[in-house]
Amino acid sequence: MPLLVTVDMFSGLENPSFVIGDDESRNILSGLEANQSRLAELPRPSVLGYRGFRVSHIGEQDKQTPELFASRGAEETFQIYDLPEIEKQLIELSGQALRDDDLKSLLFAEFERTSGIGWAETLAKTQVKCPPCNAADAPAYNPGFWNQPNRQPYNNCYNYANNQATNTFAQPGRATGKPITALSCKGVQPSAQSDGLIPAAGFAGQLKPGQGWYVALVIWPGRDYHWYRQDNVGCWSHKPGQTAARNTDSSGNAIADPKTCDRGPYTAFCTYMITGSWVTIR
Amino acid sequence: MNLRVILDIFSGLPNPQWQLGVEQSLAMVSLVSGLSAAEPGAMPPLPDLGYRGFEVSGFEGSCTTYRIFRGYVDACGTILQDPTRQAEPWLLQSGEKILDPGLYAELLTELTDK
Repeated sequence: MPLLVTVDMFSGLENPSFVIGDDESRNILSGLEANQSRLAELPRPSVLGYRGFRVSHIGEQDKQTPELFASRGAEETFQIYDLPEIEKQLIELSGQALRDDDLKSLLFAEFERTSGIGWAETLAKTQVKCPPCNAADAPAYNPGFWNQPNRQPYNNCYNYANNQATNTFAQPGRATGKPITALSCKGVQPSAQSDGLIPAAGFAGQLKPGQGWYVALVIWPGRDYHWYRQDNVGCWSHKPGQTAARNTDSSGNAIADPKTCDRGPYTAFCTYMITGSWVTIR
Repeated sequence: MNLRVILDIFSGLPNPQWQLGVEQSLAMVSLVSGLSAAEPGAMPPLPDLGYRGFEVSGFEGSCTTYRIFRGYVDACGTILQDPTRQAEPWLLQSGEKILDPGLYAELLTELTDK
């Protein structure tokens, strides 16, 4: 009962694949059968790089067809990810079958990097539910506009949160004559208010057309400040300095609330604020 | 040749940047040219917030700007490895006079802590 094994790792090139014979297949199948309930749940991780193995039954479906496949149709393919013992067996078989020790080393390295992160836990982390957006003027998430070479380096988090690409790497208070006095909430917030931003207790309140959208100020104590903005989809996004605008936090998760997301060294959450077309920044 | 260094670390404030002198620039070129190739994709992904390495520009040739981060150098897609992490502390020390002392000390500890 041969099995076709495909190493799911590439994006542009064709994934390497090989066939394993009866003895090896038997070992793999017993492992798969022991994990049948998990096989039903595990989707294919949508990441670049190592994504596990895909195992298919090949040949005519007959009484020799392993039960695992027969019950689902002989053409069923299983994605093997987050099943460490089976993955390790398959990595060893990859090296032998493809006569490629470099590939085997690479796969072990990738396996080490990705293992230990339970898939159920990973799924839970990435399935962030976006809150409702109650601001009629909230901008759309539009990284394409911000991440162009003639704009990205010249606009920072403050530009982005206020949705104003001034190309001046805008600073709170610079447009209105009240510069930042310290890298703290008390040192930055007044400058933003001087520009026209309005403190808000949260981001659930309804903002009608003309009343702006929600942003949030956070601080890396003594070092820097950062801003997030709520987009019209409800989740938040940000543009860290010269880098690209993005809608994930420092752990790679969608941002339902900047107060509770992973903010790296910006550990101090200052306040939500409201910004809009009346705000002047430079 | 005077290479320009940007410490890519901030979000709101502009990143600190400074220029290397001629001898420093030559030393940097020599350091980088002594590094060996790494596997494609070996450089860890840059974080969104916090320290994101150094951007050094002004190199001669087809690739004029290098990114140096966590023991790797990205030279326009060619990845070099700096296993003893010489480049980053060296670059940080070249900017000591213009960097905030507290930030400098924290980063130096982080970059030399093996």
